[in-house]
Amino acid sequence: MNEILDYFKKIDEVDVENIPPTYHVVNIVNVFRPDEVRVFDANKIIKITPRVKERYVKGPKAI
Amino acid sequence: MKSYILKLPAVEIINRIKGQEISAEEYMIKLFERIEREERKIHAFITLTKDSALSQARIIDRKIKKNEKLGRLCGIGIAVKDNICTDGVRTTCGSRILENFIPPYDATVIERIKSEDGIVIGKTNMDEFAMGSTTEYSYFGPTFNPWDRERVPGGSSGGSAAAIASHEAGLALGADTGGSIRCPSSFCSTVGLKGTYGLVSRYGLISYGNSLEQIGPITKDVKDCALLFSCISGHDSKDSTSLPYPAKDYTKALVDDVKGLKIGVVKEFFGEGTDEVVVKYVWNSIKKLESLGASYDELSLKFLEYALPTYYIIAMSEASSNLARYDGLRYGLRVPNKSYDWNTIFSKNRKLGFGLEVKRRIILGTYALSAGYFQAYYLKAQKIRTLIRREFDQIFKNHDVLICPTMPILPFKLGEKIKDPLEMYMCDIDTVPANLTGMPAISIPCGFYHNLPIGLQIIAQIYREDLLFRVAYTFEQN
Amino acid sequence: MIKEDLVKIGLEVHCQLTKLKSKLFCSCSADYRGKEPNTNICPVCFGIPGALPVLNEKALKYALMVALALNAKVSERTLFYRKNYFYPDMPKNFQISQYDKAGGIPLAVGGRLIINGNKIINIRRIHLEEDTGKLSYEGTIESSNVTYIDYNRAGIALMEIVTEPDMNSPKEARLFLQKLSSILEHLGVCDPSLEGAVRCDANISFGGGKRVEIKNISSFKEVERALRFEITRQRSLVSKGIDVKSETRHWDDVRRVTFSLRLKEEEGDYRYFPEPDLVPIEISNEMIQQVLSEMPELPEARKKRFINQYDLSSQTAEVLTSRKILADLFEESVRFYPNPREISNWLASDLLAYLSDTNKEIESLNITPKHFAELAHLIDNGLINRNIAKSIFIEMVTTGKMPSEIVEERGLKKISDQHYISEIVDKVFKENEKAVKDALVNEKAVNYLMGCVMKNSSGRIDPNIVLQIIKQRLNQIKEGD
Repeated sequence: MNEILDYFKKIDEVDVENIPPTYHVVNIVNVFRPDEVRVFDANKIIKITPRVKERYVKGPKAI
Repeated sequence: MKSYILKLPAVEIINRIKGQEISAEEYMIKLFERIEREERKIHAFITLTKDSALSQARIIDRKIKKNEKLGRLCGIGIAVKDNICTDGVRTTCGSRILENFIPPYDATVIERIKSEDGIVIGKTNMDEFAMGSTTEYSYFGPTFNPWDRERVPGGSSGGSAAAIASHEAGLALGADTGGSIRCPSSFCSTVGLKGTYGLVSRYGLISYGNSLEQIGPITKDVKDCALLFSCISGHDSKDSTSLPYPAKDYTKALVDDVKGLKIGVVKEFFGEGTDEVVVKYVWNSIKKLESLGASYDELSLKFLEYALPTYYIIAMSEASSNLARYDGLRYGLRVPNKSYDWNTIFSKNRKLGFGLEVKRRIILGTYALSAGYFQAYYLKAQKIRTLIRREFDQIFKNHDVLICPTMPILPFKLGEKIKDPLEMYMCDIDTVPANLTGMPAISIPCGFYHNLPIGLQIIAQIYREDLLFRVAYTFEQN
Repeated sequence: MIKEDLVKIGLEVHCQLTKLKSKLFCSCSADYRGKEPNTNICPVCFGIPGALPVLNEKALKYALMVALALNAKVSERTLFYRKNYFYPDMPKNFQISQYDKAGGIPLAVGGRLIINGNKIINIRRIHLEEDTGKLSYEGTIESSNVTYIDYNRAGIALMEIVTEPDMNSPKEARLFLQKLSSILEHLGVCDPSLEGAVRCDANISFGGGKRVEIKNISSFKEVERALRFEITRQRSLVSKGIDVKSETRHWDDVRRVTFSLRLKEEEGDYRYFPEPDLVPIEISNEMIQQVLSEMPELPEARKKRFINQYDLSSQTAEVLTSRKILADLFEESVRFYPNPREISNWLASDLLAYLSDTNKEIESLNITPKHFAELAHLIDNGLINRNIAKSIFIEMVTTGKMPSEIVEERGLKKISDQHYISEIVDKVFKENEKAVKDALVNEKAVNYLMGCVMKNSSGRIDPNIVLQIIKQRLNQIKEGD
């Protein structure tokens, strides 16, 4: 693991002053969808949930 | 009879099914006979969908008989990488944590191949969560290279490439985050394309490194590749990062002519660690293209040596967040409750469900995003990404394509690199730049060395898949 | 000692955009209330692998409306971030939000809201994020052996509005929330009366001392209570010489106390990074102009209009515009019966007092503008007196019956039937011949006759008509002589 981190440090050599980051490689903005309802068959989802009780997803205790 | 048909390019098989030389059902039966034989040696698939494939084939036969309009992928058997969601068909990502995960929906690419009458025949083996370059990191055991069973098929889409190389599928879908389509294509002597980021919808692709990856075709030849790519690409409103362009017909770009094209040969792509044999074969290929009328010159890219660490920092960071959802509450593996609290259950689930390499990348990615390290790792990597992209943009101002090796080395033996992750990462040195920049890149076979395949990589500017197909097709035809 | 004027309170308000049809990043319904658990879910909001978010265009528009209504500066370019932490109510174990630390660019920054006529509360930032699922337990969170999760709410569009610590009392915090709620109502982006539609976290400090966060405050009624409790608690600590710790406390609205609950998720480093599955948002001037042009009348402008148009006092206008539903009720009632002064009094004092006494919401009452128009009309016509009107009002808001209906049922109407009154007058005249004679010469004796008539009718007949008939009779007697 440390060996890999050392390898990552290689990027320290690069001077990136005033260089903006490229978070998104495509140059598109403002992608929206209209405010419309489409109902998904929730039974298809809850079917794959490991533990369900009265349609609640059943999880372990909190504390 | 007609068992040679399985070895034909997909385009030919589709034509024969459409032309009623063979029924879709007959083809499908033959294909599964072969799969059942080959799988004992290759292990390309995690899940096979024989029943639904056969009933699909019969539906298509009826369409043919009724003279209905047929899709472009009419009847062809398609192997799908197991990180692409298929409605009602188990999708494991090569992981124990998703061993029994059955998606409730189809990925957009699956909807598209179905609407073109393509038939999903099964889900292919892969490195767990696409993290690896050999397909050895699969919870379901490794895939073997059809050209030499002692060697790896490459990865992470090793199952898809091996299925094509062993004629267990007509076409295949892979996904490429840092070379995962091109690497196994190189090692298995198939054609593999990672298109421009945003051309193929990622809806339904189980995320590893979202800002880097694309689904793409793995095929027997360039024409098949152009056909499948034409069918799966084009705008999808379900993926916000999908480019707003309609699908194109890339088969029109299959022109046997490279006259006047300018090839850039970047010397860093042939750097230290590149096998001499690979260097020789790739240079021979460049010379061949020159003889066909293209010209080339040699260049240098200053920031290319930083591409690999930059890539791994970004991919691991994104992965650490993407994989957080596997906590066993909503889907996937769930360890017995006992009387643990949820934090304990989460850790136990993930400890049991994830393999070593996945854990390693989650930890490293978490580290790179942590307060105090974010600037030095994640943010800095994203800035270097800008520098790399700028350099490539500069080169593409006066070059049409870049040519380089896909993999710096020949297919190696199973277990050879699994002990040393860093050595494994080094294999991706030539493939990651296309993911960092979003540029399209294709790997095509350029020969064998003692029965071991060698792949040639062609890279083009954003949205210039046409140039890739043109150069690849010309190379293949001559 | 803690001085009240040194109290500094800041709020972090979460408003659901309840007027949207669908969730923030998927097409599931925004109307999740009252549905069977886990029926309002899809691959996106349930965090199924491979599903991807796409931003609801209207959510952005609504958020811009709120930002502009609060005079905030809208960012030209903004990004969504992932806020990473493990919690069972979050389907992806990260929340798509916007970066709330220095360097992050939220949807809008700055802005302000004026309360009490002149107190400025500055807004720090406004952003959009997704709501989480809902957890429930068997008994309490501490004692329960299981956690039940309903993801119907997961992915609902939430707007976070963060103020500077500019409020100096719990009351100001409540007024701020009330005013903000009215703005949201007037903009038509949120119905604050829905359970959980407006929630907030508060931070409070004394005289530059340690900051305490209070989470889980579910309404503006609770905010004042929670903050009052916290002030009392901290006062008593200080008086015992104990230091106030900088910590996060939760408000328990059943026991009405704040308590310290250290959950693991809060300790963390959220490892924010830009959401790679969403593209940047660029907000052009044209988009802002478009939103401005569609902006409805806001409470402040409406208040001024009420003062001018209906000649109301500033205080009454302020009260009426503190809820859109109240202001609407007023204007509609006045349309049916134009006595704004009478109607505004019933709404601004009687109705609000009734709501606060009975702990009810206007929405739960079965009343319409016609109710108030009719009530005012009955009073103006002298058909009921003010005392009776009060009792009719109570029955009206309790049952939803029309005032005239109640008057009819109770026989409350002042009797103005001339024939009936004449009969009583005649009877009284026969029984009081001496008084009648006196009355013919002495005006004052008329009052005695009046009293007798009223007594005979248990006081429900209209005195004006009685007087009129008595005078008529007396004149007839005079003429008869």
